[in-house]
Amino acid sequence: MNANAETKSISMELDLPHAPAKVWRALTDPALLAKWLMSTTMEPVVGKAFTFKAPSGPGWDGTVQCEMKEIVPEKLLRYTWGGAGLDGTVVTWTLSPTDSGGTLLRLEHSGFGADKSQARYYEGAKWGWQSMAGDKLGRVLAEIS
Amino acid sequence: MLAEDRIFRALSDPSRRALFERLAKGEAAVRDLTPRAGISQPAVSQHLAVLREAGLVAERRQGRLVYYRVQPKGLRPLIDWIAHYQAFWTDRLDQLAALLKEMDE
Repeated sequence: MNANAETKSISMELDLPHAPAKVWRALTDPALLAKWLMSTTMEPVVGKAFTFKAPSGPGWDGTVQCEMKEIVPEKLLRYTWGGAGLDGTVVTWTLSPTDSGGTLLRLEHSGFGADKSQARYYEGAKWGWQSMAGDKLGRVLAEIS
Repeated sequence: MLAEDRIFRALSDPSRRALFERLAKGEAAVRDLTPRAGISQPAVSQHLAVLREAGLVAERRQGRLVYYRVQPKGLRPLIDWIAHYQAFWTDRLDQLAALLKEMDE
């Protein structure tokens, strides 16, 4: 596998019958975010750090570390999405009004593999195993790299 | 069962973890692994089968002996972030659409 910096992203589109103002609320109101995404400390302030909190899983405390990057009300929302070996990814929401009064919502989650992929590989595996195997396995992973 | 679950399950057992760590140092046959593992040969074979099913080790036959080695790629599912988030966002966008239906305009 090529370890050089080719990043990958996920993008999805949702054609919604709801107006952009309403969709915007669902993307930015913590009470609503908790209902469909995760509980969050998000505030509509560029540069502000916040978290999403999920139920913890094996080897993960369930916290996603974010920083607000860009806010254009009812049009665009961008924040970093990191922590737990996944630093450097960015989530971008784009809202476009449709002719029928609805919203075309686009999600892009970009920046996967921004690091040297091998380093990320073992970093992530170490992270995943932390709770079960501890440091010893981390050393093994370093050995077989 | 998901690949991640199989890997976690395989490595949740200390004996299997020890075997995996031993194999990470180099290929070995079951009989080489048995004295060190402190468990019977059939038990070692069984543990190796679980590791193999999880994609963590591979086997190679030579005559009557079977040699085992670590599959570094076996760890990939643990950090296949793209696949993870593809599934995650698909699920969450469904929930978002459902929530929007319930919300007042």
